[in-house]
Amino acid sequence: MTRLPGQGDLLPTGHVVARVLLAILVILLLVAALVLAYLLRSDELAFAERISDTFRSWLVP
Amino acid sequence: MSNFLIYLGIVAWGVACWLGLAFVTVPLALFAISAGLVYGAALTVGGYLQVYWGTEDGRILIRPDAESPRRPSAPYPHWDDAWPSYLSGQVERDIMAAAAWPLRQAHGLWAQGIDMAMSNGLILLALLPLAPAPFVFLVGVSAGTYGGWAALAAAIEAVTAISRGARLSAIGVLRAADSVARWWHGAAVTCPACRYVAWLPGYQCDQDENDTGEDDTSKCDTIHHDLRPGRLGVWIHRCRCGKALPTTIRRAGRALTPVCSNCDGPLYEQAGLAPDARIALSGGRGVGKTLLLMRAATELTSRSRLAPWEPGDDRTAAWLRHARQLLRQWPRFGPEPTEEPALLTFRRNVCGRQCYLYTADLDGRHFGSDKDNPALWQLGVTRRHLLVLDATVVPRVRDRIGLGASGATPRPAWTETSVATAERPYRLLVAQLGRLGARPHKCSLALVVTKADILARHGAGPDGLGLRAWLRSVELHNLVMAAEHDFGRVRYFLVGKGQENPAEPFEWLLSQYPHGAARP
Repeated sequence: MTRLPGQGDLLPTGHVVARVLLAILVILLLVAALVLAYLLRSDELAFAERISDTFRSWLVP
Repeated sequence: MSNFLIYLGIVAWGVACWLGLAFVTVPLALFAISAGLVYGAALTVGGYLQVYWGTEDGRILIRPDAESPRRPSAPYPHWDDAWPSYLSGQVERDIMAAAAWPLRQAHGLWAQGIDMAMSNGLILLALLPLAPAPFVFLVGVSAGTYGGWAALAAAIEAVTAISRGARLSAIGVLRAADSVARWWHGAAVTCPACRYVAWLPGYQCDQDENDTGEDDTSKCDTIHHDLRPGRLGVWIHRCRCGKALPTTIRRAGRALTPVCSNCDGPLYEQAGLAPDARIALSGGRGVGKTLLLMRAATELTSRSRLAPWEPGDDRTAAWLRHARQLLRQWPRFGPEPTEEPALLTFRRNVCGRQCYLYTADLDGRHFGSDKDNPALWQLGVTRRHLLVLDATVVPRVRDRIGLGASGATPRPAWTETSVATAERPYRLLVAQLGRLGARPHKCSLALVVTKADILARHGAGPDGLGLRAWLRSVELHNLVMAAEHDFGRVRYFLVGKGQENPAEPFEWLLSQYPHGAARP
């Protein structure tokens, strides 16, 4: 049994190990999403620019 | 003039709004929604990490619950008092709880935004081109929260699905290995005290409560009825007290004390793995069941045998001493009629493995009535049945015994009644097996004709004729036909003082079903 920091409950070690692994997975996924967004930033900017231009063309003939 | 200025102001405000919408609103909204999505995703990650840190445990943790019901087909109605493994539902609870905190934050932002919009309507109107940005930011936060939560939930479920597949395979392999070993040895779990034949042995947790940090030094003593790999763990089950209990009967039997699931009494070592045979004695009153059992037990425990049985407990040892004493005095003093069932346990060691034999001597009066009798419940838990038949109550035999003296012809009515009396224990045995859900065709029946010495003395025995043919010749053909129809295997034995080996029916029954299920 393992005590989680800040908690009174004793948890089975298997629970704690599983949660630590899943927390690492969550952080890795967040990092992966940020890296992906960084890699795609030029496409995203181009996409945003296209939307702005389209909208502007409606308002400013 | 003032009207003109107002009109000019409105036009200027309209132009500013138009320019703002054209050049500011869209880029700002795109930036705001991106920022909202990132913020919502960050909130979700925070929510997951909080749950994994344990901040929600007081609310969401699946704790040991000995009252939690199991499915109807499970061997026990409730789960053991042990921690469910993480993959048994806790992972889903964690995922659900991970949504709570970020959604609270997002809803809080919405509430703040609506409050600000309501209280600053004029400012909002004046800065109309800027108004969509906070709105789309909030939309982005909500979308990021829900989307991030769902994406992470899907990722976690995908990862745990792999673990669950591996766990399921491991459970199947371990359970199969355990079951095959038990099937091969014909093992069962019979309580020597209450005679309850359990599906699985229970095991008592022997953890000192002191180890858990409490002051008293008492043992945990929680009984775990089902230590097979499963929902509560594959390789170990975690008792409520925290002790790791090995799963599978083979491993648990080495580390823990096996106990009866019915009366909590201790079982013998290797319970659930050792060959375990039960022989049920049936027969009417005064047919010689007790005498047969005493003589057979004396023979089975004789030191002159190759692998003698020995009493498995003090009660059986005392009964055996009494039986030997009575047999030395017999026929001057014979056994008293059985009132309380004598529950006897014998054991022997064959090639380093303990084997157990249980038998019960039931009162013959239980076989005198066709009513459902709870006292006969032990008949339903064994595949080995021994029916004792007193041949001297059969009319034709009685006639031959009596003809030597009187030469009278028996009356037909008396004959029918007596045949029915002889057959009644058998009918009752089969009916009782049916009531108890046992299948006779999965059982063996040793049909033992007692008092062979009396038959031989009067020349009324089978002599050169086979016992089966002799039974048919004395109007017990219905009994023979019914027994051979109902039971999977039937064999006939003739025993009496100085005649045949009284242990032979027991040895034959013990040789049946060396492998396979222990219950019919």
